[in-house]
Amino acid sequence: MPLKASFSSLTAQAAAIGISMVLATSGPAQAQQRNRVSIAVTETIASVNPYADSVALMYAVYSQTYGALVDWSFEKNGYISRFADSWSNPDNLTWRFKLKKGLKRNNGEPVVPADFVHSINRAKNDPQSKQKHNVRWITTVETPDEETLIIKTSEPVAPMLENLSRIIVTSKAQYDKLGAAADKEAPFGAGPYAIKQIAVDNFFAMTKVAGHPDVRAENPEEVIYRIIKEPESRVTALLNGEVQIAQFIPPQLVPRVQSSSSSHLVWDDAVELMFLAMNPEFKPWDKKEVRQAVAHAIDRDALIKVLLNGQASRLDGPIGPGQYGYTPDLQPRYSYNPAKARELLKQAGYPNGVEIDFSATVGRYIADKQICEAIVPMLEAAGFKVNLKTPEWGTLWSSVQKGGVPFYYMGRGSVIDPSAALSQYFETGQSPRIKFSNTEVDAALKAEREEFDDEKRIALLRKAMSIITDEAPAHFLWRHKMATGVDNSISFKPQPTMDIYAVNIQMKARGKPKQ
Amino acid sequence: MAETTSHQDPVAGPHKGLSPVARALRPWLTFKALLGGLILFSFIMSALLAPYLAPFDPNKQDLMRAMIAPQWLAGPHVFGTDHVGRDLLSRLIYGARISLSIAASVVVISGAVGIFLGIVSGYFGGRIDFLIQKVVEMVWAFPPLLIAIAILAFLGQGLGNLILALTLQRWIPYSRVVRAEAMTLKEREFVMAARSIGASHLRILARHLLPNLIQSALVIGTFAMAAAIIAEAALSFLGLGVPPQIPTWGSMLADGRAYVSTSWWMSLFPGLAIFATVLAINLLGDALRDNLDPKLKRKL
Amino acid sequence: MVTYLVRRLLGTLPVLLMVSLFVFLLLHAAPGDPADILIPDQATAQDVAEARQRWGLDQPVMVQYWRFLSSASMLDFGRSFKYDEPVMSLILERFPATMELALLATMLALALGIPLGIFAASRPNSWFDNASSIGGFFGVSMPNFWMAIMLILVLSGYFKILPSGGRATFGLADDPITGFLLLDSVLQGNWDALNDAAKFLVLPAFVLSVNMTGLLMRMTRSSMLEVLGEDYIMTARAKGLSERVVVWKHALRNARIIVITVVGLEFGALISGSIIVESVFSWPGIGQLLLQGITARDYPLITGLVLVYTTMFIIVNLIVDFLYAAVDPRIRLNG
Repeated sequence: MPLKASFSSLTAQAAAIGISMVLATSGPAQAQQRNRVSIAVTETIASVNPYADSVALMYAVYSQTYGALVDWSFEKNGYISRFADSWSNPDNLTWRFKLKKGLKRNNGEPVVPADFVHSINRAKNDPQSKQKHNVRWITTVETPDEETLIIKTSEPVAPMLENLSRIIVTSKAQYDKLGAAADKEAPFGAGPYAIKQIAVDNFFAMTKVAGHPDVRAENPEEVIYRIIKEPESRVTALLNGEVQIAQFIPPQLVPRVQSSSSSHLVWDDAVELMFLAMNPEFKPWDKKEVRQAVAHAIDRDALIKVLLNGQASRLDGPIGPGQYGYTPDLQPRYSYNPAKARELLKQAGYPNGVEIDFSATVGRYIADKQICEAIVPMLEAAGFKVNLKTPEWGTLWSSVQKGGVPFYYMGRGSVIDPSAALSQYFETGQSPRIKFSNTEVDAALKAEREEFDDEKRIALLRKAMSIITDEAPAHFLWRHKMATGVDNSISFKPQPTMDIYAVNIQMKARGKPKQ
Repeated sequence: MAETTSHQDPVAGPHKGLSPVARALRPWLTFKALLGGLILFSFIMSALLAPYLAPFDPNKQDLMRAMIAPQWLAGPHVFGTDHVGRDLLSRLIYGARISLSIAASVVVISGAVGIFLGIVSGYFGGRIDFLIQKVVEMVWAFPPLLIAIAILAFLGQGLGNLILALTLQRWIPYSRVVRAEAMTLKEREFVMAARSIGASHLRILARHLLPNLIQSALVIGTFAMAAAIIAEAALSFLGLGVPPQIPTWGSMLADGRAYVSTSWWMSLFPGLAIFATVLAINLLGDALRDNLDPKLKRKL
Repeated sequence: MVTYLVRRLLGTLPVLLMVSLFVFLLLHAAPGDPADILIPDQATAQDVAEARQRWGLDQPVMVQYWRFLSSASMLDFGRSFKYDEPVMSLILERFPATMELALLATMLALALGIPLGIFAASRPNSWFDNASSIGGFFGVSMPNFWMAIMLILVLSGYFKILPSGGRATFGLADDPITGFLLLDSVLQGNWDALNDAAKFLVLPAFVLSVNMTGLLMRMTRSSMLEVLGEDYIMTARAKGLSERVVVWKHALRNARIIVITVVGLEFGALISGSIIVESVFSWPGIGQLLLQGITARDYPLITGLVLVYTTMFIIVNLIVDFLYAAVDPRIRLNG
């Protein structure tokens, strides 16, 4: 009988696979190279083209392989550069870099000034580029001599270095020779690690560059970033030894890592701001009192305690410690005060409450839907009648960007210097996400961008932040405390940006076998 | 028949004097049929009487009582609470309303469409079959997620639209399986015989094919039912389910996903509810076969 | 036979045409603008407008469709918005991963579902029948993500015998030939890579096979039970044929048509890639690609995927119909 026959052959095959598995348990996978560190990450890898991604993960891997023009150093609390010795502003439209001499890529090819022009051009003009916004103010790039790079901007942009920290420096020579294939075939950079293999939306492998000044003997020879989106799988892979670092351990899984004998957690405040946005183009959000009522209605401490397991720092004002321009004295502050919220609603002309639509994200941020569900009764206690909506991300985000969502929960990441984020959300004529407009805020934000003196600039930023907090087009909630799981065989220091740099990873002395 | 319940015959004798109603009911009084009926009945009753049966308001949150493990009979939260402190048992009871409606409508609507198209396709063959199969191939290829996004965005987030989104493709398994059955059945002696004595197509389809197909359709149906409730969970996970204020087994599963290893009760109980429903339907289905088996009828 | 095949294949074109039109309309009707979603958070309105123009989204829908059709007629299905690579090469790159998983899951389901169904049918209402039915129902009632995470927690977390996800250990396999890791490593004689790939396959394939196993089991059981009461089975039994012969030779013949149908259906579903299983196991297949495509509203990618699905389903249906005719001579190929 044909069916029966095919069956037994199937069974035989299945058995063969089964046997091979049993044999494999003590096979090579277990004897993994001891000098390899695998990192479970959650973001995506869209391309081998370094200009075609604009996610934190990829900026980080490219800055340690190709190298970025400047890098933010949390240790120095300022910018550093592997390509330039120093920089200055002859006027407030000009950035002059004094380039280092004798720099080489990991294939021995020298880094030349033309590479910087080429790189900025690619960010600007490459059809795949998702980094155009980083270079939007740049008008000309000149290299008068072998050690000078002059970048001119169309208007004064004090926080320009943040944008320049996103410029990935690739080789002009390779691109001239190979065209777009250079990204795949000749990805030679000047960073401490060399690109070994990029598998789109799967993994990114890199190896240590021997003799590079930034690397030390303890840094791993080989580092692989593996995309593992499911949190349970990430934690299991960590506890299993399949990966040595696991990003973004959600609050409910923290105890699992804590109780393990093979791994530990390291913590840092994320530079992502979580907030509730209220678009004044829609009623009742046109009334400042209604917006302030929301701010008073929400018990952030309870949400942090229960739903986030304490893993968030409350924000009083748009930013928190470690972010540029932060002060603990920013006024006003909003206390949890349902009675005051009801009072404010009454003042705004809604003594009997008001019906609102509240759009939650689902699965985008840590415990987002859960948090929004828990916010609903808090708002209702203050007199709002809430319709909770949970649109699919693409639908919501597209609508938010067109200014079509009245009231929503959202996050804004990568905020070290708040200038860009504040401008984007609260300056008149910028993105229509909130459609808030306030001449004082506009003036302060414009002045701040043109102010190259840190102290004066910070004062202007604080002024803008204070008005924004008072006007409350957005109610700032918290920054998540991010837990990163780390295998005990390595030591690793995280960054608030959550970027994982291989030079911050040290292999510990060997000897004690795992498990 | 091996399948018929064996304890039936010995006791059949003394009950000959029973009323026709009682005699009609008798074969149903088997353990399996009773168990299946009981489970389904209690689920339907709890759906209907949810406000009276549920110990708590299913949407009442209490952050201070979040994620309490099942207290069984030792506390107020028999099956524990979820991530925002809602009582799980109450949500399960209320959830039966939507989830059973989803399951029943999806199964009945897609079953009716699928069986009709399948039987026509298989029995008539030729051009009709060709056309229907082209439709199958067309509809089959659409990613369900895309259909759900489009429908829910257009017609709004709601139960009816969700059912529509879930039904659009679920008739396909019925139609394919029924078609296959019809193709073999139409070549069988009893159909040939019916045709030779001049029975109309409609009569052959209704009297000879349909009863023989029901078994397979029922198997597909029970699987489709579980799949429909679970599909709602997958959509909820992306925010595409029914509005979040309405508890459903699917949305409870979706909520429980993040807590599978830490608060196991959040996903296990809704899963068990689906399991019990599927089991009940199958038990009743077996009883149905035992009583309505066309071959048994033909021999009588 | 040949005319039949030609006719079936000719019927494919209108189907693909209709499907592409529907997908196009559905995508443009669905809310969410690819440019809004794909262009990064910090970008300016101008960046978004440029992207829209580059992708042709500033044109009327029918113009876009016409452009798509004219390039598709040259077998160019456009470039993905998100990945900026030709859609077909993206799909083909990931297809072997999904196909490998689908094939193994199907084998598992056949190897488990049919024998279980036969044993259950030959001893209806026995403890074995009841237990296997209950197990099957439990399998289909618990969602895939639950089963997947449970297996990961137990087999890879607790017993540490299988990896928790991914497709292979980095650096073990040689350069791909077919993209099917098992096959490639056999061809290359790379036994370490074979072991490795097999270990990564087991869990996701098992989770994917559960539904098919349950369905095959119940279908085999019910179609055999249907036949076991028939006259010719009675006759066979009366002739003194052993029960084994009766079951295997006569009763199973009837079940074959149904088994083929069910396998066709479920295999069709498997090769379109499971979003949930692939993402829990970080499996780099087309299910994850589809999810990325849909979330990003990557029109060309989704359209390409749907056309690939349609083609595969047409092929599966064709094979199923051929198998019908091969298995049961009374069924004629027609259409």
